[in-house]
Amino acid sequence: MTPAVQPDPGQSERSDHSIAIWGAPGSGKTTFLAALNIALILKKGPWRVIGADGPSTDFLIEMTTALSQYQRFPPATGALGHYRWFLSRRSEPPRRSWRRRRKPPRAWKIGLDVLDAPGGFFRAERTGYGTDREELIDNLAASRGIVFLFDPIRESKDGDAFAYLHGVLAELAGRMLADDEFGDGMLPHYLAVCVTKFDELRVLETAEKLSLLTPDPDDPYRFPRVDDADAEELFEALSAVSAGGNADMVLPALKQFFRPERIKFFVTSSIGFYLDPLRGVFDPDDFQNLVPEATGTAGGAQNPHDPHGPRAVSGNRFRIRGQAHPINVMEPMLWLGQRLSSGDGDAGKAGG
Amino acid sequence: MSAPVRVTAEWALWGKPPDARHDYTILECSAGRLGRDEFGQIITRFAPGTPMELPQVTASWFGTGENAHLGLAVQEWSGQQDGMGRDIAITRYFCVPYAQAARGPVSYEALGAAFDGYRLPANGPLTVEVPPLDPHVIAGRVDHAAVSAAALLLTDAPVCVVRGEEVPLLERLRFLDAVAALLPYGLRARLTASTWTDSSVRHRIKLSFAKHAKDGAYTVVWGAPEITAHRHDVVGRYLAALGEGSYEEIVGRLARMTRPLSFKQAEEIPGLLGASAGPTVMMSPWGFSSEFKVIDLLNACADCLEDREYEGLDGVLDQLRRAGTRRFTDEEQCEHRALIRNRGLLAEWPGMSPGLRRSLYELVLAAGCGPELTLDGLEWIIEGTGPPISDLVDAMLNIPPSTPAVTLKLLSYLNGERRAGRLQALGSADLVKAVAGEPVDPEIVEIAHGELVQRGSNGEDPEIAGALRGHGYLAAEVARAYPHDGDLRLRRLVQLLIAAYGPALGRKQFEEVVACPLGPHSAALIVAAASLYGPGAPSLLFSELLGRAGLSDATRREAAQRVTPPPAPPAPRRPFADAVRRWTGGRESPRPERPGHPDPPERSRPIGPGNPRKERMLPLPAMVGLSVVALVLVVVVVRFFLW
Ligand SMILES: Nc1nc2c(ncn2[C@@H]2O[C@H](COP(=O)(O)OP(=O)(O)OP(=O)(O)O)[C@@H](O)[C@H]2O)c(=O)[nH]1
Ligand SMILES: [Mg+2]
Repeated sequence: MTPAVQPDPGQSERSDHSIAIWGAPGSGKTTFLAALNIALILKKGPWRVIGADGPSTDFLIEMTTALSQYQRFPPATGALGHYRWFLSRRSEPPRRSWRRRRKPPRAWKIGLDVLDAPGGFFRAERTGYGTDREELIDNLAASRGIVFLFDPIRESKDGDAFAYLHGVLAELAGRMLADDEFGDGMLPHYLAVCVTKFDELRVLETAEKLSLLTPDPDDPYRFPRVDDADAEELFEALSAVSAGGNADMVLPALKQFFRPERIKFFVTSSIGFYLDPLRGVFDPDDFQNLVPEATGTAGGAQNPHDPHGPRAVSGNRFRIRGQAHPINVMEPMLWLGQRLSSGDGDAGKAGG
Repeated sequence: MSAPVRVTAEWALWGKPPDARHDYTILECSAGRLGRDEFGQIITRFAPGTPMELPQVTASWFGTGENAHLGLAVQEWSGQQDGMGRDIAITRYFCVPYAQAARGPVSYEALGAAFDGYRLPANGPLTVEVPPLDPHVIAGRVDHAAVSAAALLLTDAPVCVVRGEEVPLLERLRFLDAVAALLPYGLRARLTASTWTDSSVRHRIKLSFAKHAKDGAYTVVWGAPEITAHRHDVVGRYLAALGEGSYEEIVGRLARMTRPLSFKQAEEIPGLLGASAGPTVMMSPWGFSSEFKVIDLLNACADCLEDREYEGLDGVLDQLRRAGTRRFTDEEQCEHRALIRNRGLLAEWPGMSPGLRRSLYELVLAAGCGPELTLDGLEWIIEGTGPPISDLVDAMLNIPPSTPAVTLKLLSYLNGERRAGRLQALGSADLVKAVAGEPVDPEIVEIAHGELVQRGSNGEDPEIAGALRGHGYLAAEVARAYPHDGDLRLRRLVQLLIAAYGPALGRKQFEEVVACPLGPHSAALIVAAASLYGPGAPSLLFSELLGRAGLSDATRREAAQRVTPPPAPPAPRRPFADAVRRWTGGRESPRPERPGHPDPPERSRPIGPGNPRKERMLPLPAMVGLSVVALVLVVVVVRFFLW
């Protein structure tokens, strides 16, 4: 007989730096997480993402493969996923010091417990689906960081970002603020508000019209970017052109419940801009990285490791044209991770 | 086994239309008893995760008792894309009444095959013929991994089969059937099994193939060369039971055990397999409500609660209500209590509607405590739940209490107004009775005492004096409640006497108090009475004692003379009266005059425990200075050590 592998205690080891991704269906939540590893690799900085358990490592590997090797997007999310990762920082060589004993290096490992729900879970009038909403609220209440994704493309077509915000927000506030645990009546979370799909022409154009595009001197590819300080302005401008006309309530609704000093804005793209391998710099006339998949193209369709698996080929899919160059994917996660691990505020009060 | 059985399935189609920009939803469903919402709930509850490789099959269940069903979900790519260009996965879901499936009984594979010929949407519910499972065929598929998985499932933890990703779908489905066939068929009423799960999702699938085991799950390796041993007692016992006889014979026996079972009853299962030579309970035909024992219904409640299946819970509670409240045998009660405690039936259950929670508490309490709530029952409840939430307290208050102490103990968990309102409904005699006797609970003493004192100060309550006299003025109970604080004991007794007789005792009243049978705790009571009577108390007390000593007149007179003090100058101060003022919380000291005085001291002010303020030892500036110096010193020392 072989000894049984003990059930993994799991829960007890879970870090209290739990971060939830919030956004309408198709706003790019899963792609955002899928791009994190690539973002960190391409940054060539000291930070890396490491899976803390088998399934979480699987996700990193599968998604990195899908995005970079097969240039494919993840499938629509079917159930609430929990990923346990570490952001780990390579330590730098110690500097010599005249002091007798140097301070030990800062915490190099930030535990992240990331939640990715199907966007439909956030719909205000979601009824009849029993327990999943409750599970979502439980998890949001236990988390202390939220990445809120605002998809301007979806907003211009469906105009429903507010519909995927207010119901869950009201329930969360009802759950967490009913008793006076958080003295000032505000939710304790840190909130990274991300405008997604910055690589889309319409988003880029809006930013340009508002003169918010700045070059990044450190970027060898000269990708345009929007400074974090201007991100809120772009967010406001984009929400003013919502199809349903109520996206302008998104920001006030968020500010009603989250402390202003805990909100930070980012303009992001999980796939970034296309980069012609020969030119090697951003081309304002040819930057679209999201392209329709030609019917019957190889891609991953015939590859057994393709996350979509072998199956009927159809012409409605999108793929990534070249390499993904994530923009502001690492930054919000790192910001949240550092806020939460610095232990200020109520970060430690997980469990709500 | 015998001929095919007919089963009627309700069905639903879960997916999204091409180009949809919203989430998955019910596209179509049979117009039977279940509606879109019910189907949506069931399918999302047993979702195995975000699909990567399809097709996959998930077996599940819903409902309890008469409403128990088996479900089968087959997930495939539709070949179309949603509005974001992502492939759409379509789930065909079928469910059949458990009782029909158990009549075969039928395997998951056979159910799946029977529905495979039908394209959805179909016209209304589907009726199909399904062949019963063949123990011979199934036994031929049993391997070490299947045996290990079956035994490990009895621990109630999920089991994940790893390294089976490349195995074809049908073979994986047959493996699930083989594992299920190594357990009593009745467990399928609670078994969830899937040919694939995503372990990053907290899914509710008990048995599945996965790349890695999920949190809290056991791992079984596909094609394992050996059976997985385990320290868990039930696993060892079951492995032993499975080893006794051929798999074909065991599978055949287990297939006949169709009474629905829960994994929480796993402890019994190895025994059932061992002792199933004759016709056993498990072989009884499918039982409806009359056959359900309260313990089964409690188990069903717990299952519903665990899955937050509140609608199903409502039905089970109905059955429990129909089972009625009665006095259970000690054995039954013990069994109920163990289950209620282990499965947390009296927990808070956030998210449940208040009405449902009240019914749940009411019926579970009836099963655990019978028709009357005793102190022992109450203690048992609190031991399990910790300080109870107000809904639970309300439910307990609705059960007739065996003694007033039970009510008072319950009231100790309410606060402010709610407690005050409930207390008012109790008579003073009941308040005294709640405190009197064993065991003494300081909390109850405090509440009853506070209320009696309050009532006494609000005006005459003639009942108080009589009730207190009948229970020795609670001297013994007060002594037990405050064993380490003589002053507090005295203060409490003084306050009780004031509540009974007013702020000063008359002679008759004094005699009444000290006439109480002397006991080990009489001293404090006598001192209290004396303090309220005034300076004449010692001599009155002495003459009272003389009266009770059964002496002749002459001896009594002589004894009295011996204790009469020589005339002395009057005492300048009244230290005794000062002490009384302290005990009574700073009240006016009782007057030295006899009672019946036209101007009795004020008595409306409530009497609280004395709360002496701590004196500050040093003037404030000095304290601040000292603290600063200490702080600086600490900082210097810490810096030194850190460098
Ligand atoms: N242009 C552009 N498109 C993106 C980007 N990220 C995602 N998309 C597109 O948006 C689609 C949906 O992305 P997902 O990550 O699956 O969205 P989601 O929010 O996880 O959706 P649900 O799981 O259904 O809630 C992808 O299939 C892409 O077509 C991006 O950075 N840029
Ligand atoms: Mg997703």
